[in-house]
Amino acid sequence: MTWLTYAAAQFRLSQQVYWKRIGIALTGTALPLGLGAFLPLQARHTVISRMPGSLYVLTGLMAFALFFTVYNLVNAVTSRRDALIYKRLRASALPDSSIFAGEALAAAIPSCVVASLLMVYGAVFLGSGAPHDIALLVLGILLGSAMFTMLAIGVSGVLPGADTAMWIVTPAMVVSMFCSGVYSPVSQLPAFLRLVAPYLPMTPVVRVVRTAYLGQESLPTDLGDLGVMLAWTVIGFALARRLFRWDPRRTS
Amino acid sequence: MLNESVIEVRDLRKKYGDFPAVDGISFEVRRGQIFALLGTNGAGKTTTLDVLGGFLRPTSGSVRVLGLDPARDRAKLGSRLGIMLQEAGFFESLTVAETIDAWRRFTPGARPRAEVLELVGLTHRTSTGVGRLSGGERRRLDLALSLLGGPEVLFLDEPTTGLDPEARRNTWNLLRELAQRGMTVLLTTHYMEEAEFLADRLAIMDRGSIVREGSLAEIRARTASTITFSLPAPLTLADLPRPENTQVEEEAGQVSVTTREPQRTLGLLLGWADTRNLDLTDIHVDAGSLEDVFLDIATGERTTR
Repeated sequence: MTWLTYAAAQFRLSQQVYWKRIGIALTGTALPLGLGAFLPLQARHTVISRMPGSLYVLTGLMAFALFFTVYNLVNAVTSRRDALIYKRLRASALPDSSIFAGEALAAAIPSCVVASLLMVYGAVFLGSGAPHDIALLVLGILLGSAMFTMLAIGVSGVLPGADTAMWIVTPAMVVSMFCSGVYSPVSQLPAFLRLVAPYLPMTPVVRVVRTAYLGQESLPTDLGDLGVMLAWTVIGFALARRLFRWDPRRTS
Repeated sequence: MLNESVIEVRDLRKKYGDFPAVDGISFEVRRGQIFALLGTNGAGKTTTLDVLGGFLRPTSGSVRVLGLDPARDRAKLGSRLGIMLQEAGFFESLTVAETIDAWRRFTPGARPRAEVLELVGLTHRTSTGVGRLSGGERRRLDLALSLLGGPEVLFLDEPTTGLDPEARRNTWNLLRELAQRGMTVLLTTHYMEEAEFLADRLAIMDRGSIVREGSLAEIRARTASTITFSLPAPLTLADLPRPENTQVEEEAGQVSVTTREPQRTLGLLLGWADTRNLDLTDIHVDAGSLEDVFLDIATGERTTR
């Protein structure tokens, strides 16, 4: 067996149990899908930052869908750790790295599929046409997924357990939704937020996806955004190295 | 081949902070042997198994499983090593079949699902959700997963806790059969009869150290036996001989002599009775049981505290 077969086996298992926890699975997929389908309709007759409102909001929500990788992964990691399932998985022949890979892919793929479905939706119902720069779009989605994956694994190390996981994920989701230019420009935020917003993890993802789709920003802005995403990926990785735990915190 | 040492533990120490959970133990297990680690809760058995399974790194000392370092060479050990943990979770939403199938996908050379379920006697629960299994059935599913890859070495942490007597007996027979075919087994237990039935060799752990080690016979031989008989009238305790290194007591006409050399002591007593033409009735010799050894250790613990 190769590392790839192990990772594929873990991926299959993670996906299988993901869809069996229907509450989590629905929140992780139907929520971003619903937001992405309905909110752009409300912005149909507006213009935001010289772009058609519906497409501005749609591209923002395509990027926002990727945040649900964090939701999926934090849920999976903390609940499996609490239930001592990682202990069992690690008693098998599975290498640790393939457990990570399988879990990460299984959490990221539903989010990427939602983003892709929203793209199709935009083309069919909102007249968005094909993406302006497909390579940048793919790069943005991949790097964004990698960043959220690393941040999720890193943060899950700090979380005491599955019960408290949403205490961190929910505020992060709210901040991402309102402060990262998902449905209205960052320039309209209060002054103090305007300074911080470009460096939040979500903001560059939104901007890269939107630019790739609608072709607005210049190359230097794109590179800066990709740099911020890369920095958060590294931070997530460092946190994961330092804080990740396979076992629940001992109470004694 | 048969004398090959499959598990080697050399002066293993594992500390949690300042607390020495395992405090310098050594033992080895040869191919095809069943080795039992006995001990009270907190004696260090599970920590030892966790080090051997590669989950923990030793503070000092070394362990080898099939000649490999389990923490560093985890990948090389792969499914040559089967591990049944004391407590580990299942995906409650999967059925027994789905669980086995998922584990088969990452077990090289996995046994067919039907075969492994047959082995542990879970065939009738194939399509039952894991969340609905009884404690004993979960334990057997646990065993099924650890046997999936046909391992050369099997670690079992309290394998039969929660099993009913019949299932326990079946598990014992299965393990014996697998050991006869060359599988090496290291198990922890606090059931004396489990160690007595299964183990070729055993070690008793107490507060991080091994206090006794050997075959069952060797360990018993080092434990005091008790010889009891009825005190012949009109003798009193003072009339009886006092062989060296024995303890003689009387209660309601029953004399009990505790000795570490039962054969010599018995010979002395019978010789003494013969020369006086006495009949010693109701003679019983109780070899020290594993339980006595265990209780001895527990008592020692109390007196040294």
